[in-house]
Amino acid sequence: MTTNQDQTTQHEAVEVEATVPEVIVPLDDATFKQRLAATIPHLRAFGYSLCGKMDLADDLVQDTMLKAWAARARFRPDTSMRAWTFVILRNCYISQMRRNKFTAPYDEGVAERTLTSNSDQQAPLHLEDVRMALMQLGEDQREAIILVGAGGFSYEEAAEICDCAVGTMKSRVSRARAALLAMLDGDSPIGTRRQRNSADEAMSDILGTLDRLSEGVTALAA
Amino acid sequence: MHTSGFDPLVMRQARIGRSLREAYDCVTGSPLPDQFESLLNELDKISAPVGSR
Repeated sequence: MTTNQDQTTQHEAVEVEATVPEVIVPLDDATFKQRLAATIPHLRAFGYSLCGKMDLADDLVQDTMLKAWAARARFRPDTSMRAWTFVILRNCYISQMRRNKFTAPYDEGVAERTLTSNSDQQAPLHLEDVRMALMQLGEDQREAIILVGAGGFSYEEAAEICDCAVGTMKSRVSRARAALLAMLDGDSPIGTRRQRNSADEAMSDILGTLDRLSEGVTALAA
Repeated sequence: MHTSGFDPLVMRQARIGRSLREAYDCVTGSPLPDQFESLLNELDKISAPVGSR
């Protein structure tokens, strides 16, 4: 049985816990640097998905690393370094966008070189299409689908990174999925481009057949 | 009539999801430019801002 005195003591304990500021013990520099280095590949992928240019993405990552290093005392060791640095990278991107550093949304040449996969001969073309479709999404939807669909973040983590409500994040991901599906299934510009390629190939086949037929006619005439 | 039991829409969404991850993994799996190794080596020389630690 709980007495009034016990309840009072518990209540006071809760109040004390609530008023004592939480002490964050920062990582030592070597450990921080090690964990920061491990996030670089992910930062590059996220940066590239935001700006569409690998060289600019690398600049973004470098700025992010410098800012993260300067703020390393504020990093909580019990949280995700990847999520923390993604927030920094996203802020860098937004501030550089405001300065109009990122003017070209998509670099097809870089995308082709970057996204070429050796394992499947069909994959490079498809990945290029996915990449192009991604760049046609609005920024909000693009970062949402990259974080949740590719980066492996939960809706909650992605919402925190993008500074929005979890419901908003779910909605963005859902709309991004629907838009990608429409584009890659042929209802939108990317699909139209693929259909046009098929039409070009069909026309090429017809012209080739005509060439062979005309060669036959020429041979018969000779 | 035999049906496969797979919803085509779900299959297409899964394919796109897989491609998204492949696109992401292609970047994460690509070799890091030398500039990052240099930057990591330089970090020790950069002290934290006054009052941040």
